[in-house]
This record gives sequence, structure tokens and C-alpha cells, in this order.
Amino acid sequence: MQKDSFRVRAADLLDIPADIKGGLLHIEITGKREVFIENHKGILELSENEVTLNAGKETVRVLGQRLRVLAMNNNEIRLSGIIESVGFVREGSSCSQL
Amino acid sequence: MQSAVNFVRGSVLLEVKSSYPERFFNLCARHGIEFWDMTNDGLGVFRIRMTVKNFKRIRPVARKAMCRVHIVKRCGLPFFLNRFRKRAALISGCAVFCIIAWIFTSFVWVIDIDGYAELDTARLLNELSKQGLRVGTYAPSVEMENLKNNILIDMPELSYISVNINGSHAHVTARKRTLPPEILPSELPCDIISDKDGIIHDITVKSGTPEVVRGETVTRGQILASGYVTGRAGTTITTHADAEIRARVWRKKSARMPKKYSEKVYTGREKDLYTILLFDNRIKLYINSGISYTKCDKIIKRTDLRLFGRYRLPISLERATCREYEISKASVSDETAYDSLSKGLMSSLELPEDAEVINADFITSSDEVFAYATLTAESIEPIGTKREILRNG
Repeated sequence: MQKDSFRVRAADLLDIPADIKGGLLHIEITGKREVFIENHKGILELSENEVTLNAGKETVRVLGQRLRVLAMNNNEIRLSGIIESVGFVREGSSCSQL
Repeated sequence: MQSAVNFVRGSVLLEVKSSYPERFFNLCARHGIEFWDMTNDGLGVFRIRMTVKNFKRIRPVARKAMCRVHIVKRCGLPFFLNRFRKRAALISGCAVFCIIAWIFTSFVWVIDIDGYAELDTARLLNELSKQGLRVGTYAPSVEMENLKNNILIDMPELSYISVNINGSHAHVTARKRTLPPEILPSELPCDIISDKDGIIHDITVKSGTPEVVRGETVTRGQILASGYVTGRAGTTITTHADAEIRARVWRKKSARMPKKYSEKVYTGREKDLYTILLFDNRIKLYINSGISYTKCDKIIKRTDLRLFGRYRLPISLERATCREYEISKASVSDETAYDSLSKGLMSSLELPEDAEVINADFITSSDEVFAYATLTAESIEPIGTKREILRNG
């Protein structure tokens, strides 16, 4: 089992909300139309039906139709389209959906 | 809102061709080059939009990602304005226009006066001019408070004045001072004396001693109610007499009217003369100012030039229409003349507010030249005015 970093463990110990734990992935989904992902590390794969993002230790996969990048910068990416699923890709297996 | 900001900042639509476009986008993000509105045609060609500032930084990133980037469309205000960069005359024309507009709106071109119907508008304009507010005054130089105070001092008949300068438009509102009627203080002893001749119709004395009775003939200056009151013990005191007295009053008025008169008959010949009024200057738009008509009416119609139909500019067009006429002799019948005379005489009666005309007799006559009418009007109206009793006699 993967061990949490010192920063995460310290934040848990001090009851600091998960939102402000530095560097953690933050995903917001607005209906079926938009996904906002914070603290990503870049795009791994980009197509109309699938966007795969590097999120450090995890890999996030967004599946859908007519997916497009609305805006992107170093930390944040906003995707739109008809969202079908957002999930983490496990090593050696298919993705676990949110 | 964001699209408006993007329009002002300017943006470029880029086409990105690469076998591995994700690398290009990741490099852009890492270098702080933001982009938006990404579309994909499905054949590995992406279109993205970014600011002009970011586009200037994209060359090393594209080289590193081994992709081809070219501009599809330039959008926004900077590109729109860039078109006019070489058109110096247009730019300088705009600048001159702005400067002229700024200069012209800094001066007062129109002065509107409101609420001054009872008094002389020309006098107020003259007074405003003396205090430094006239057509062509530099608006910021007008000291409002001083101007208003000085005008109120110089024109005591004014109770209120306000001056608002809105752009090139000065709006002046003035109110006439309404002086209260002169009332004798109630503690002063006084008599009530008749102010006209007549026969007393009714009299009600509230305080004082009545000196006349109903049906008595009174003349102007006669005491109607005295301020002297004699008590039971025989002592006489003075008081402030107060009474409601009405009297029958007769007025006689005469008038005459010529039975033959001259009448204007328009010949149908007209001539229009146009003049432009620019501030106080008149620019004639005609060469020969002499009018050949021997007799004519001059009807002047002035049209103010307004901006957007609202803001009056200091330019007006004046049209003077000269209509030629001839004098012809006409005559009226006696009945028409009497009718006209009687209406005129009735309206010329100077009756007080509460007066009621109970009888009006007309005596009419005529000769070859004139029609005559005499009106004798009988009215019931309040009479009496207060006169102070002087203690030393």
C-alpha cells in the first residue's frame, strides 16, 4: 500500500482541511458539461473522447464526447463537453471512477 | 465580461500541427503561456486562442515541441486600431475633433431661464452678463456662489436663483419674491373708511362702532366703522375696528369704435430671407436685402440647431417671410360694433375679486364715423380700508 507523504500526514494530524493541503489534486465537476482540475502536471493524452492527465502520483482520465480544453495553464485545466466519467487510472488496471 | 476583456487585449487564433500536440500544450502551460478555446478537427490539428503577449513567447516552445504553429485569425481592438496606424490624417483628425469637442464643451453656449415669466428676462440676462455669465464664458471660471449672491443683492425682487451649468448649457431658475400684503397690526387702533362711492348693502361690525347703516349712501373717505368705542360708564376707548361691509357700487365706462377701418389683404406674394445666427453674429444668406414690397408683414421663424434633438447649439437659422399686403377699406355694421364695444367694456371693468355684477346697462349710439357705447355696471362688492387712528389727533 502506498504511504502518505509527511505533509499529508501532518495535515491530517492537525485537522487541516483537505482543500488546503498543498499539491493535492482538486476536481470540480459542473453537471455533465464541465470539469475543472487543479494541480495537474500536464496532459498525457488528448482526443475528442478521452483526456488523460498526469496528476503526479495519480493519473486522471476524463471520458466523454466532444471533449475540448476550454482553458489551461500550469496548474489548472478546464474541460468541457459531454462528460461520461472522471476517474483515476490504477497501475496495471482500468480506471476507478469518481 | 471575459470576452470583452479579451477583445480589448486582443487575441490570436492559432493552428497547431504536431504528431504529439500534448507536449506542446504542456510546455505552454509550464512556460506560463495561457490559452483557451481549444478545438480539435480529429486529424491532429488543434486550434487554440491566446493573447498577443503570449503569442510572442511561443516560438521557442513550438521549436522545442517540434510543432508548426501559424496564425489563422487576429481578433480584438489592438489589431483593429493597427489598421489605422498608417492613416495619419484620420488619427490627427480624430485627435483634433476630440480637442475641439473638449474646448467647445468647456464654454457656455446656451443660457436658459426658467420661472421668470413675471419679470424681465432681458434684465436678468444683463445681470448674469455683468456677473460674468454670458454666452461664450469659460464655464469653469464661473463662481456660482458669488454670482448667485450678487444677483440676489442686485435684484431684490428675486427670492431665489439657481444656476446649473451642464456642459455648454447654463440653466438658470429664478423665482420672484412675493411681498406679503400690508396688514395693519391688530393692536393698532384704526377706523374703517370707505375707499369708493356707493350704497351700503350690508354691514357686520366685529369690533368698533358702526357709523353707517344699510341703505346709506357713502362717499370715498367716509368713516364706515369707527375705532372709538364708548363704554357703559361713558368712557371712550380706541380699538382696532374690524367689519365686513359690502356696498352697491356703480361704474361708468364709455368707448367708441370707428365704423370704417382699414383691412389688410394679402396679395399672395412672399419672399423668404434666411439668416444664420452664430452666437451674437448674424450671417445673411441673401445678397439684396431691399424688399420691393411697399407694405409687408415680416414673420420671423427661428429654428435652433440641436444635437441629438436635445442639446441646443449656439447656431440658429432664422427665416424671415415677407408677405405683401394691400390696405383696403372695410366697414362694420352698428350691431357688430355695439357687440364688440360691449364685450370690450365688460372686460375693462376693474372689479375686485369678490365683486358680483348685478346689473349692466348699455347705451349705444352711432354717427357716420363712430359707434359709441356707454356701460353702467352695478355691482355688490366689499368696500372699506383700515386707517390708523393717530393718538395725537
